[in-house]
Amino acid sequence: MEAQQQNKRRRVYSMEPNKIVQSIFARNYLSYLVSALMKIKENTSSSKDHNDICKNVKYEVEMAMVLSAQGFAWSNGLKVKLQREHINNVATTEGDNNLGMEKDSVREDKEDEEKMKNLISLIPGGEEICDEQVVNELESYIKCLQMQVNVLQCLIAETC
Amino acid sequence: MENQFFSNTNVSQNLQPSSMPTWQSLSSSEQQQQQQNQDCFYTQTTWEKSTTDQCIQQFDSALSSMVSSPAASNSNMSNENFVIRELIGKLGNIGNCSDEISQTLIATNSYNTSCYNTPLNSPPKLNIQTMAMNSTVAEFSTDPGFAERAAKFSCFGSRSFNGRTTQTQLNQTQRSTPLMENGKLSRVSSSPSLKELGSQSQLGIQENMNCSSQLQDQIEVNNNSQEESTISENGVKPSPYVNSRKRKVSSKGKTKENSTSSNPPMACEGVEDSNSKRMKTNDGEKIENGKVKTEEELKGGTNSNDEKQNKSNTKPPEAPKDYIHVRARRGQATDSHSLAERVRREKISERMKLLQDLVPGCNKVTGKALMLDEIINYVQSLQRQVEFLSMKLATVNTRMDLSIESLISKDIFQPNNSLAHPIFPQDSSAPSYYGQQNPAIHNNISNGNVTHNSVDPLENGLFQNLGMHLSSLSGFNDAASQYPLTFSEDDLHSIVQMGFGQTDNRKTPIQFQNLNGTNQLPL
Repeated sequence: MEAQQQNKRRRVYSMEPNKIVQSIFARNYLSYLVSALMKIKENTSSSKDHNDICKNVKYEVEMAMVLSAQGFAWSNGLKVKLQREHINNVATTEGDNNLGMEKDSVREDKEDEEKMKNLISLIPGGEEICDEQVVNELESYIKCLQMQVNVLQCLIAETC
Repeated sequence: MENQFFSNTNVSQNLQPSSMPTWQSLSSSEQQQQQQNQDCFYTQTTWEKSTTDQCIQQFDSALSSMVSSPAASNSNMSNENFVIRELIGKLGNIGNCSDEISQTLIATNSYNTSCYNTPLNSPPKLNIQTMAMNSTVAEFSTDPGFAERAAKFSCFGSRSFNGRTTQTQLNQTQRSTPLMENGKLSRVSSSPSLKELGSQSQLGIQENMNCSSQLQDQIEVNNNSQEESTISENGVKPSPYVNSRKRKVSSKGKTKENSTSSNPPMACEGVEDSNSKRMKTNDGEKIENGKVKTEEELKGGTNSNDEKQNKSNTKPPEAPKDYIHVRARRGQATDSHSLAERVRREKISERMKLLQDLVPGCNKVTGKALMLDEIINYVQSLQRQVEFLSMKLATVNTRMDLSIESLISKDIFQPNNSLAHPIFPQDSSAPSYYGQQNPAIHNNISNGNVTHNSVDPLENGLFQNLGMHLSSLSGFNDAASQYPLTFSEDDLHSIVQMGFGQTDNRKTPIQFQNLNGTNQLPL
C-alpha cells in the first residue's frame, strides 16, 4: 500500500483496473463503437472517399478502446496519440510498420534490453510508463487488445 | 618475513622445550610479560602466514605444553592465562586459520579457565563450547564500557591485520582478504568477551588496553575497518550509522569492500555512538550472525549457494528502511547503478512470467529473449488484427441495418468477466488466428448448456448459440442486474427470427463463449 500511495503522486491509475475493465469492456466498447459507426454511416455520403471512412472507423475503434479501458497508462497514451493524429489526419500505422521492418534485424543479435524497448514502444505511450509498471500495463493492454479483436469480429460477423 | 617464517618454523619445533622453561620460571616482572608479548607477536606473524596443519599442530602442542605446565604458581598461572588468552585471542583472528582452529583456540581458552583438562577436544564439543560462549557474550554486551573496550581491542586487532594483510598476500587474492578481515573481526569482537568470562577479567582487559594503547593513534582507521566488519556482518541489518544515501552491500569482499575501505571519512561519521549502539543492540545476534556468515564465507561456498544463503539471511532481518540491500554476485559489477539495474531487471523478469499466461504458446518457450519475442509478435499481430477489422468494419458499415445494430449491441453484451472468443466461419476472410472452428464448436456444444434441441442443421448452430447464451445469462442474474440492459426471452426470440431471416446470407453464426468461463477456446 505504501508503494501505491507513493505511486499515486506520480500517476493516477489504479492498481488493479484489470478486473474492472474486463467486466465492462465489451459493453462499453460496443456501445461507443456502434453509436460512432452509426454516426459515421449517417454522415457518409457516397462521394466520400473510402479512405476517409476507414480512417474514421479506425479512429472510432481506437477511441472506443480508450474509453472502455480507462485507468491504464497506455489508454492515456493512446488517447493522446489519437488526438494528435486526428488533428493531423495521419495514418496510425507508422509504429507497426517501423517495427515490422526492424524486426528481422532485431531478432538476430539484439539484447534483452532492446527487445524490452521494442515491446514498450508497441504500447501506446509506453515510453512514459515507469519500469515497474511496464509489465502490468503490458498485461492489461494485451487483454484489452484481445477483447477488442473479439468484439470487432463479433460485430463484423453479425452485420455481414 | 619469509625468512622469519621459516626460521620460526624451525625454531618453533625447538620452541616448545625452550618455552616451557621460560614460562615455568615466570616472574611477575613486566619485562618477561613483554617478552612473552613479543613472542606472541612473532609467533602470531608466523602463524598468520601459514595455513598448514603442521602449524596448527605446532600451536596445539605449544598450547598443551603451556597448559600442562605443572610447576607454575597460581599467580604465574594467572599471568600465563592472560598471555594464553591474549595469544589465543590474537591467533583466533588470524585470517588464514580455519574455523576449526579458532574453535580449538576458543576451546582451549575455555579449558584454561576450567580445570586444566586436556586442552584439545573433539570439534562437536568445541561447537557447544563456542555457542555457550556466544550466549554468554550477550550478557556482556550491555555493558557500555565493555563495548568501548571491545571496540578498541577489535580495532587493535583489525589494525594489525590491516597492516599485515597488505604486506602478506600468500595464497590470498585481493578480494578475499577483506573477507578474512571480516572473519577475523567477528572473532576479535568475541574474543574480548571470552576473556571477560575468565576470572581475571579486569586485569585481562587492562593488558589488552596496554597492548592497544600502543596503537591508540590509529583508532580512527580501526573504527573504519570496524565499520567494514559492521557492513559485512550486519549487511543484512541496516545499521543506523549509514548515511542517508543509498547503500548496497556486496558479499565475499568484492571490490565494493575495497571501495568502502577507501572511504574512511564517510564511515567516520558518528562512529563511536554507532559502535556502542551496535554493540548494545546487535551483539548477541550479531555475533551469531557473524559466526554464521564467516563460517559460510570461510568455507568458500559456491557463488550461487552463497548468494542464496545470503539472500535467505537478508530476508528475515531486513528492516523497512528506505534503501535496498542487494548482494552482488561473484564476478558481477558492484557499481550501485549496475546493482540497481540488476534489481530492476530481475523484477521485470519475474513479472514476465505472468505474461506467459496471456500470450498463447508462451508456456513452452523458455528464456527471456524468446518470450519477449513471442510477446512482441503477439502484440503486433493483435494490433494488425484490429487494424484489419476496423477496415473491414468500414466497408461493412455501409451495409449495416440500424435496427440490427442496436440489437446486436445487446446481443454481444457479455456481463461476465470472461473474454468472448467467437468462432468464425471457415470461409471468412478472418485471419488464420481463429482457424480451428469446427472442433471448437463441437467442444463448446458438448460443454455448454444446450436447452434447445433443433434438428435443422442451419438453425442448429444459432439455436444452440442463443440457447447457451440465454441459459448462461439466466445463471448470472446478479451480474446482469448491475446493468440496465436485461435480456428477455422475447428479445432473444426476435433476434433468432432476425437471424433466421438472414440465414441465407448468413454464414455460420457466431457462437458465444459459455459464460461460465469453462470454455476457453484457444486462439
